Amino acid sequence: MTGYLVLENVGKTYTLKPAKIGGGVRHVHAVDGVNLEVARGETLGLVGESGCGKSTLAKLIMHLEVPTGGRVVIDGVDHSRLRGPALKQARRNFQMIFQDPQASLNPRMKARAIIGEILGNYGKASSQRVDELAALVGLSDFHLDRYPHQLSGGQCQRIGIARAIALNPGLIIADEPVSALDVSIQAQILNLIGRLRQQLNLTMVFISHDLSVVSHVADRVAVMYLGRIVEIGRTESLFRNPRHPYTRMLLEAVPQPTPAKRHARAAVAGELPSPIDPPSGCHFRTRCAFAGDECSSNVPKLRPADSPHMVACHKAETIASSLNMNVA
Amino acid sequence: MLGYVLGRLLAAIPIFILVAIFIFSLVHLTPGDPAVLLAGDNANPQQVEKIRERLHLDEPLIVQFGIWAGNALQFDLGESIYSNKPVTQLIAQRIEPTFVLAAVTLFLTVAIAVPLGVIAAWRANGWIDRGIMAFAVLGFSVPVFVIAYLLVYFFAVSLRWFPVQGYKPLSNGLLTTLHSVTLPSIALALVFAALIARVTRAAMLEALSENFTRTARAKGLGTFRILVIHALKSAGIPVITVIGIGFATLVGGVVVTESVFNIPGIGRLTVDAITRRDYPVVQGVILFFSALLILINLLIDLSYALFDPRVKG
Repeated sequence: MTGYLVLENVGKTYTLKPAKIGGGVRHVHAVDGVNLEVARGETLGLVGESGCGKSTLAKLIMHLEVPTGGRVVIDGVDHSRLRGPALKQARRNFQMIFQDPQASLNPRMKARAIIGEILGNYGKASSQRVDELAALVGLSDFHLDRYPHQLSGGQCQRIGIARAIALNPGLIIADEPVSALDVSIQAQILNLIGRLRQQLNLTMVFISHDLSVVSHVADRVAVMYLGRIVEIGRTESLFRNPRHPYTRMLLEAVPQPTPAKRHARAAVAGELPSPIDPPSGCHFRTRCAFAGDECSSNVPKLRPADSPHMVACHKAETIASSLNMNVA
Repeated sequence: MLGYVLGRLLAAIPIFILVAIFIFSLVHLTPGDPAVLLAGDNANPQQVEKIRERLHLDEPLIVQFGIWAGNALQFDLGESIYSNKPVTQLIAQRIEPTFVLAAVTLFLTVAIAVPLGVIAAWRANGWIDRGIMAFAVLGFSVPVFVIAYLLVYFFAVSLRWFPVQGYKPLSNGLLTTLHSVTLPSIALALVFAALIARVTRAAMLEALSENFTRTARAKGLGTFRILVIHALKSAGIPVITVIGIGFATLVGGVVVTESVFNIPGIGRLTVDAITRRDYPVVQGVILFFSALLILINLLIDLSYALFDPRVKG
């Protein structure tokens, strides 16, 4: 499989100044050796707690940050080495939908100017195209002649989406596109994104901390923990049969609206360790009930559990059989 | 928008009245009898009495204020004790050099400070940024007259590019005038620019960390467009505010600079009036500067609407 988006061993390390005079320089491994492939037209959900590196990964794909290691290849082009005009041309092909729709729009520009600017930037200024895009995301002239503060969050996000698809990109990175919206609006925006994805044959990385949202839109899901991908698989497979203890913990933490379906669950234990000084070996071992000696000495590699479902856990089989015993 | 303009105009009126009361009180707050003060040391009682009558100093204070304010509204600020010329005429004669000096200074300041601030923010914490900020600290740490004399020494005395002092009126041609105010303008602009550059940098840093700046980068916009169209426009309000406030400081600087460069402007008029205890002139000049500052602040308030569409009446 040659993916439309390929991440090869992508890493991002931030260097911090010494906390005190004479102290050593410290490093934050926000993203640590991530390998991913997303096929053309596929939607990959990316989940994890706050601070696990989801948004940094999104910025690396978007070239808003430059990776400190590895390659980001989109449609055959490794854009992580591109600069200047070549980078500008490459950007046409990947756009982002941002988390906070209102703040991501310039408050001093009308919606029409915001959408028109990206077209003009690539020499394609056309008021007709702006109207067309507005219609595509369900906005009218009325909205186009307004400033962001005069519009609701949902309307702002529609502008953000119109802007993102304006140049017919192949890849869309959606970083928590609905987390700032009301639940009723969330559904509308998710449906809009879903519809556009099919109409425009978009490849998408959909980042969220909300597992129910991800299960709704994603074909495959990747779970991130402290800068690494710990599990990845088809959405149904991953939700029905999670292999990594961290994925289990996340799934068990999803609030269940139906009381009858609620049952005793292990709460999410502990806090996310600091990425400045992460635990050795498996990053998750400090919160894992199954952790053994192997987990602190060796970094677990992503390996097939039942292909194409992959997991990075030394104890995956042990955990699976122990849980099956409990069931039996 | 019209409502916003009218509102601001109306708000300026009480401020102006307060300023007028303060300026009026100036003469009465000075120790001693104003009439004696105005008459001078060698006056006899009859002369003092005459002055008292002429200036209505025998009337109640409130009536005096009414007369004074009424005259001021008709641009009659009294006569200079020293030269016996009307104060308005004195100000009118001196306004051109000061206006040219202030305008050139303002232009130089914005032309120097804003680009420096933008570049410093763009290259924040790099050596360019540090260099610019070091220059800024130096700029407002050194007094105007020191910079002024250094400039005179190098560019007028040693290199002879500019005149040491003096002012050539606009009637000699714009270039001649600009040539004569170059050094004083640079001296003033350096101090002023230091302040504006720092504020521009701070406001730009904030604007550059906004989410919409990230969106602009994701759109693939060029650095110039991101910095100027997106970030600088949003940083405009604090910058323009400080330019306005700085203008008040500039007025003080103009007084010093005009003395150093021997420019016959309002600054010189003020200094001369104070040393001669020419109270009507002092009052008139202060009133003039106050009106100017109120006007500038009004313009700044109005300009907010240009920078931010969310500001309106």
